[in-house]
Amino acid sequence: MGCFARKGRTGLETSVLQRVASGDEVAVEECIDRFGGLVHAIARRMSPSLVDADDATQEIFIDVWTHAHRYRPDVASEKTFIAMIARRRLIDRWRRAERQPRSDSLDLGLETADRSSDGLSLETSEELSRVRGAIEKLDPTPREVLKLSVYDGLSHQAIADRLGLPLGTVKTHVRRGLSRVRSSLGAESSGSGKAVS
Amino acid sequence: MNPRDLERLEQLLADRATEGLGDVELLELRGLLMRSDAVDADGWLIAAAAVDRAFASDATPSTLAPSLRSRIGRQSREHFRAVRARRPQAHPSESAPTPDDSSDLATSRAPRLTLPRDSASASTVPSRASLRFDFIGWAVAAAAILVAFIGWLPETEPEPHVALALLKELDPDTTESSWGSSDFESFRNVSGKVVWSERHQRGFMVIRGGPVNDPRVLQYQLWIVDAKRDENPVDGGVFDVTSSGEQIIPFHSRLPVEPSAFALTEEKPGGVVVSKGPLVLVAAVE
Repeated sequence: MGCFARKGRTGLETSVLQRVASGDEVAVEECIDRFGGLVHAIARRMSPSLVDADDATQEIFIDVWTHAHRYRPDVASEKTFIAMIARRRLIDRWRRAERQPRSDSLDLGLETADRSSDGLSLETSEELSRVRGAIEKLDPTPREVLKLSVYDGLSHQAIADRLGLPLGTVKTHVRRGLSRVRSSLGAESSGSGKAVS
Repeated sequence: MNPRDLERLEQLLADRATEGLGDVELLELRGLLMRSDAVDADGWLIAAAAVDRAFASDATPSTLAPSLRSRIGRQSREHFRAVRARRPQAHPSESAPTPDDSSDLATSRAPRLTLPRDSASASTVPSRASLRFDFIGWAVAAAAILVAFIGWLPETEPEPHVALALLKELDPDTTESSWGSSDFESFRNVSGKVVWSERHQRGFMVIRGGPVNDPRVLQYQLWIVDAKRDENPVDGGVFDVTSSGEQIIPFHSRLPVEPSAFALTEEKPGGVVVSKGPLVLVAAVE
């Protein structure tokens, strides 16, 4: 299947994305093969239909090609980088289509459960270990809010309605939860972080 | 930045990373970023993606359906072909279209945009471009902080009226030039203006009551007239009028210009390097 980058955020080998950015057409095909499943899985969770998810997946890969040159191994893993691009495009599509907060995510039930009792993935990597550690340190309610927002794709209002919480409280939980995860990823404390060029 | 604004900034970044922002919130976020010290705006998006992965199932399918895989592969190859094709040509004239006098638009009606037909000058006129608002390009022309935020992700492009407001906010010296009267019957009731930022070399056309065109037959092309340039007006791109109501259409100049006027002509689909069509509207910069 080709030469993939060494695992880890500080891999010294040239990553697939870096090769894509340099115009390596073989890397483009490798990237689709390697990350297509990941992208499609995220698209399925955040799309109203399978057809929509398929369309979104196509759009996401165009975004990946456009922004591959922005990938930095010292900031995040390739999977996380691509997941970020995917999420941004999916949120963008939802905003364009509905212009109103989502009330419910569509779980197409195509993923089988293979998780810890906290609902966290068992995929192992240094990056995910830190993130899981940060999530596990959250109190149950903020942790649930974070999962419902990020993974299940519910709008903040929908989460507030479901959990019987004020909207402001939900937003604060999301902000603080993400802030904690940022810290675990090595981001500097808020207000003093570096600008991304 | 005071703590309250910083908290608001972080909340907007967290909201953006989870459920997205509306146009007004987007504008607010950009305003806060302009006033803040360097902020790792992308870090919030990365954190959300990492959380997503942390909760994702370990049994996620590892391959795409063959038909989808094929479509993505084909589209990707087309994308890279288009990217390569857009790169600067060694000889710009190679990509210039052959002037076509066969169009029935070439009938004499209103005064034409008379310009010297100098082939050397024509080669310096940039290739025609569709009027796509490149918000990333916008950010490069703006402050470094704005680049850090708007930078590179497929952010929701704001609605044109919001983008126009943002342009005015970024550059208080924007000019507004109203469309003049037209000799064309179909343009007699057109009103509106051209908003231009010399600092950012970008602007917006506001067109009300414009005649809807069939892009398979003709398109409108914007020309930026710079009295200080001895060459042809600068191509501002082709566009379509899709509604007789109000349309706000972004454009930018590919060459540094100090506009003395903005002119619209009717041209063949895809536009031309040197105007051949009738002049339908002019907005003079006062």
